[in-house]
Amino acid sequence: MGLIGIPTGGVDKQTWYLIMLSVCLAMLAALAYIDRYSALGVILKMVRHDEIAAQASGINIFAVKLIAFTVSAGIAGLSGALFAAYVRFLTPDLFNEQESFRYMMMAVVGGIGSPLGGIIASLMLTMIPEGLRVLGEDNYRLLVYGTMVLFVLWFLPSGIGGLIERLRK
Amino acid sequence: MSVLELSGVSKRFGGLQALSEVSLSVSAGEVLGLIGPNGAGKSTLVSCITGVLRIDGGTIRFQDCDIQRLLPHRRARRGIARTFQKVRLADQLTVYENVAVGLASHWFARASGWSSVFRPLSAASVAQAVNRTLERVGLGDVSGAIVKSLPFGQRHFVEIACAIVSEPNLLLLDEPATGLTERERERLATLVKDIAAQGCAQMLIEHDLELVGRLCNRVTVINQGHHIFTGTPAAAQREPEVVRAYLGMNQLISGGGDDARG
Repeated sequence: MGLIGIPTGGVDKQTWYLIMLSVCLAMLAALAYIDRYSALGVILKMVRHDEIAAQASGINIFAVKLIAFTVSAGIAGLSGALFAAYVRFLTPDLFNEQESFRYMMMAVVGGIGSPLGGIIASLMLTMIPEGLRVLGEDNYRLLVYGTMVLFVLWFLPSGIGGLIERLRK
Repeated sequence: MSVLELSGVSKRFGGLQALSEVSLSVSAGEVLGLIGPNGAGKSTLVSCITGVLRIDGGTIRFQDCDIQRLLPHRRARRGIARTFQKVRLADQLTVYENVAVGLASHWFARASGWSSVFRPLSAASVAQAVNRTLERVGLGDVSGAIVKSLPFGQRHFVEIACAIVSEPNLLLLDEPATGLTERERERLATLVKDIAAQGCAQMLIEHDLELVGRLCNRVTVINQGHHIFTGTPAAAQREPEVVRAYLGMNQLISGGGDDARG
């Protein structure tokens, strides 16, 4: 089961990869700007922190949450479209539990609200399992990988982003 | 003309009648004291005025408009600001960022609201308003500090700065003197007078009755959700029902009276 023949506009796979990377980095930069420097960034943080206080400041929390949800869904949709054009074949197996869990872990290990932490976690959680292939293809590899993720969650509950913040201070 | 006018406001939580036909009014530049024993319904009344709680009966008029159907954020955009009994600030953000959020009612009140929220927090229009307000409340030197790192008393002033940065027409202060040092209480008194002098109507809920006596021309007393008195602070301490509500503390409010300042 799957979707084949996804149009790529005649662009080769390598170029698609670069386009995908550029779009992702641009989105990340835009979100980091909003988060760190714009008024919207502090509005979002205030809504997350205390809805009643946010309302008292004149913020329509329903609208803010709706927009945040819609924009994040839009980003996920755009990412999916780029990914589909890159792999050229879509099947539900590409997003099985293990893969979905890995993407979620990238956000959790990276630390909520930390773009840099997210990048580092994504690199780590992609490279480490590959590097651990030297241990062989059996389950020991996954055991070591899982232990490392648990270690980060246990000792760094705010993720790599939280560690970066602490080191900065 | 009254900025705020409450008429017969009632609120019930299940079997508890928290407010029972409470009426009061506050005029521009006036500081109305709202006092009463613990559990009298003072904070409930503030939550009803700001729209956090829906009233079961009566009317709330703000600047001659019925605001009962307005959601809390719409009331804030019309110019109703408040502070909280338990300070509610984003602890992880800086003082500057917290106060900048207070400008949200300004931003969204305009048709171009959504475009203005994308501008940088350091933009001149934001920085000017925030820094001016921080200077006004005496926090100019801690603008970049994380709120969590500030002493408790200072946080009260940050909250007041958040409330006044958008230049509201009505400010509801819910026990702002709690936990303040003597010096900070003096700063608060000066600030409340300064805000009143700018024409902002204020409602001061406070257990520090000496402070209420100094700052308010009139006080409204509620007990167990019932309005029992409105008049000068001096008259309040002669009112038997008020004295009874405070369990016989017959020297409730010092100062105040005819020479009370607003």
